[in-house]
Amino acid sequence: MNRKTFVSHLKNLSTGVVAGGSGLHLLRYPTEELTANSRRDPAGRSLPVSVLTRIRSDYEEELFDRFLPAMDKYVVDHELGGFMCDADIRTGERISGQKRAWYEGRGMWLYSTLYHRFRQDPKYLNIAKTSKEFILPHRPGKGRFWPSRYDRYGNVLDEEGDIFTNLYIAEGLSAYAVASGDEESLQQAIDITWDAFRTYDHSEYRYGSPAARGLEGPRVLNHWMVFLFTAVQILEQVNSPEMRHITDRSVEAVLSYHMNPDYQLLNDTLTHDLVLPDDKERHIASTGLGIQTLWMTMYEAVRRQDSNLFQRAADHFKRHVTVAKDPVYGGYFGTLTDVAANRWSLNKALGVQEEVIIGALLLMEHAGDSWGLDCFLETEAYIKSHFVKNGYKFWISGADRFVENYQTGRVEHYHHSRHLMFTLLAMDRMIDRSGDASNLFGSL
Amino acid sequence: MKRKEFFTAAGAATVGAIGGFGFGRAVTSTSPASSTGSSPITTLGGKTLEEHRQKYRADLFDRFLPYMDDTVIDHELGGFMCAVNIETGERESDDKRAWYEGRGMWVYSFLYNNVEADPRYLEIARKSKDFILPLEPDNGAFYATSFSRTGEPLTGPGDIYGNLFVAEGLAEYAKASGEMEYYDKATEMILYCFDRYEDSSYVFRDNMGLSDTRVVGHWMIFLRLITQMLRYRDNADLEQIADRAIEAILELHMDPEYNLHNEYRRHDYSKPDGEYHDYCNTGHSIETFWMLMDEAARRRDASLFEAAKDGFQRHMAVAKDRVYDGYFFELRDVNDYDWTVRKVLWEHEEILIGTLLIAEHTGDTWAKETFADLDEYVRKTFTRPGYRFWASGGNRRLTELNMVRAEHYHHPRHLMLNLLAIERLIERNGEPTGIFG
Repeated sequence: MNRKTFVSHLKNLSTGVVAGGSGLHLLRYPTEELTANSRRDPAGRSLPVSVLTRIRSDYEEELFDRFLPAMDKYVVDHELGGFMCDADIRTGERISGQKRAWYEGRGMWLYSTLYHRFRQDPKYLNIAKTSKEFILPHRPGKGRFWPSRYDRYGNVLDEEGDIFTNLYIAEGLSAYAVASGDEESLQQAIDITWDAFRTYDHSEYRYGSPAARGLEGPRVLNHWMVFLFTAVQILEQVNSPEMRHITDRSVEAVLSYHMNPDYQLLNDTLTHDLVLPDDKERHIASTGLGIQTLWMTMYEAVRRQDSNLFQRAADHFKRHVTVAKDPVYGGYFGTLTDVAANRWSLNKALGVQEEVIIGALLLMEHAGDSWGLDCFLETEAYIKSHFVKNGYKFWISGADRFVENYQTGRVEHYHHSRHLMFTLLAMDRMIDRSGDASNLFGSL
Repeated sequence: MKRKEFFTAAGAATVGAIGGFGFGRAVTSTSPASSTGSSPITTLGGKTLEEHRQKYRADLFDRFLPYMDDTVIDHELGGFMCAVNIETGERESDDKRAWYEGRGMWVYSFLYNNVEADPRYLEIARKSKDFILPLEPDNGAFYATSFSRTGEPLTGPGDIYGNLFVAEGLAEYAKASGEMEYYDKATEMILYCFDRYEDSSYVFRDNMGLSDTRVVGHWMIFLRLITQMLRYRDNADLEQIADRAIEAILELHMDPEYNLHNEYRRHDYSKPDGEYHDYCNTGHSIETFWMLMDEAARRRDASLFEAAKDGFQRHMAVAKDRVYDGYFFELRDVNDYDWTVRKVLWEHEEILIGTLLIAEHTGDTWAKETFADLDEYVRKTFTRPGYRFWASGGNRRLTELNMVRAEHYHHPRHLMLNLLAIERLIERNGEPTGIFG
């Protein structure tokens, strides 16, 4: 490699704009088209409408021309309802006809949101409805969770579900309610969420993650996260005191207790009293979940129009993205397994990268934030160059650090579709405002 | 006009203004820095240039040098005894080391040459020279690692760095004293070391399990010595070694997969098997790249400067401790992402030199901001009120410091080089040199 190629080699490698280096070099959208966003921040930048439109077009194509047709063909059970996500992402070939409670709730959410927010195509609503009809008959009694796995026909394969089975189904029902106008589904969503919250809030609650195992009534970051986002979406439809309680508690738990005061990262698991356990092997910082939780907190701040909450969540979001960055190969790690020793779990999940996109967009859209803009462009380029393979039916959902060895046996239909839809919606709003920030919070 | 000719012409036109660049005394500007196009640097991190100048002078003249005088320098027998408690100044051993003699000789000679021509400084350097030169083995071996206060070897032969640091000290001493035989001696030592290094059986340290070695740290020292010596006097042999070093730094040690240095390569530059296969000493690489930027300034080679700057920034970006700030110095395995999480002062000071160097030439905003942030971090974490010396290192958060060692090379070098850079900026009313257009 001569000096010239060395320089170009370095320039082609993102040295981490977000983490403080320089190098917006692999971006798919030309940075020279960035314009000063003088209305919001003299130092800030925004994307001109022409670029926003191109991004929108790319995302629309991925959603409607690739992802949804592939879902239709390989994953959706048009005959019996539900989603069979065990398929080979390369060929679409189905690996099993099994269905999971998590994936039913998530899929119901996807197709209901699609119908409600994008195209009122009865096909979408019907997919959501048949999923609902597949999973609802298995609804457990109070204080219990849905069985986790089923065969294609609905026979239970695994009795033992976890709290997320209920929560994703509640989220799906909530989205179905708004899409269909079915008030019963909304009430079911509220009841299921509230019941799960009361179960979680009890000291007898147990959770089997490595960090929570053996703890009585553990407090777990991803629980707050899913409670928060489920409750927020219900509150967008109806003013429920139970859901307000859940969002208040979740925001407080996340920002005041899980946020480690020493290193300003979110700890994965606390004791029931919201204290970090003594044993060091539980001192895990979940950057991936943290990034996701913090954009959801920003989302809630937008709903509340609470600029202080938005700013706090935004600052923490940036910190988590910065810390989670893989400065050598790009992308973001999900778990700092030992904060003191700087030891990371090195695998890369598509979901983490896509959650970064959503948060960055919130910053761009509502704060005209230059950091958010750089982060969006860089992450978007990284995803496209690593997780998308020509000829594959679906994107890669999880891989090793280098995204060379990756999972091929699962279709990820939740984080992926959510990021596509949320990006499209954000692009639409920004295009409507000619690229300007929302001005929702005035000058942050 | 070809690019090379252009830079030669530009260099000749501006040499008076920038003191031949490098790290010499500030020279009054004879022509405005018209080639930069950047706005003048008036402050760095909220401090004026004059405040930075005063800060560096106080660090150097009110703290570091008096404490060196009191506790480290052997005024009687010559040499430096660095095993000193940084809090109390109490000496824990009288041992001297070849590395530290060369380094100390360089510091006091450079001080005399560039900052203050006080005969006391030259005398300290001279006594160190008189201490260490007679101890050079006559059998071709490298200097012993350490010696008693009176010069008895306490160990067998040390490593190549002992000889190279002594050569660096001698070259600078020659400039200070005018005794050019020591410049020639330094040249001879460098060429001898390079011959040894070029031997295909050369092994850096026997206990590393490497059969033959190329080392970034070696190229770094060769290059730095030569940059300084060529500024003083042309030498075709040294120029050739510098060319080799540049190629090694930019290409042969660079892993094309992850764009970081491998500190160790085999003699043929293939990657060694075992634990050093993906080993990157980010600290060394950062240090090496600022030295390469300075060599680029000497050569007036803009593309070389850009390449070195990119390497500098790349290694910094990777080495950053994103949780607690500061920089890690050792990535034991790039692909396993296995870091040594202790912090060393020298790496941070090398970054301070490199960022100020970039700022001085280009007015680069990133460099100015990084310099200012890191200057604050270093002063907050590596120092303690009432301590005689800055800590040479410590744990990741610098809550526990290395207590025994007066660091008398990287630290004063950073103080002096940055003091001189700030003074040059003041002389140019904050204008970057613009030597690279």
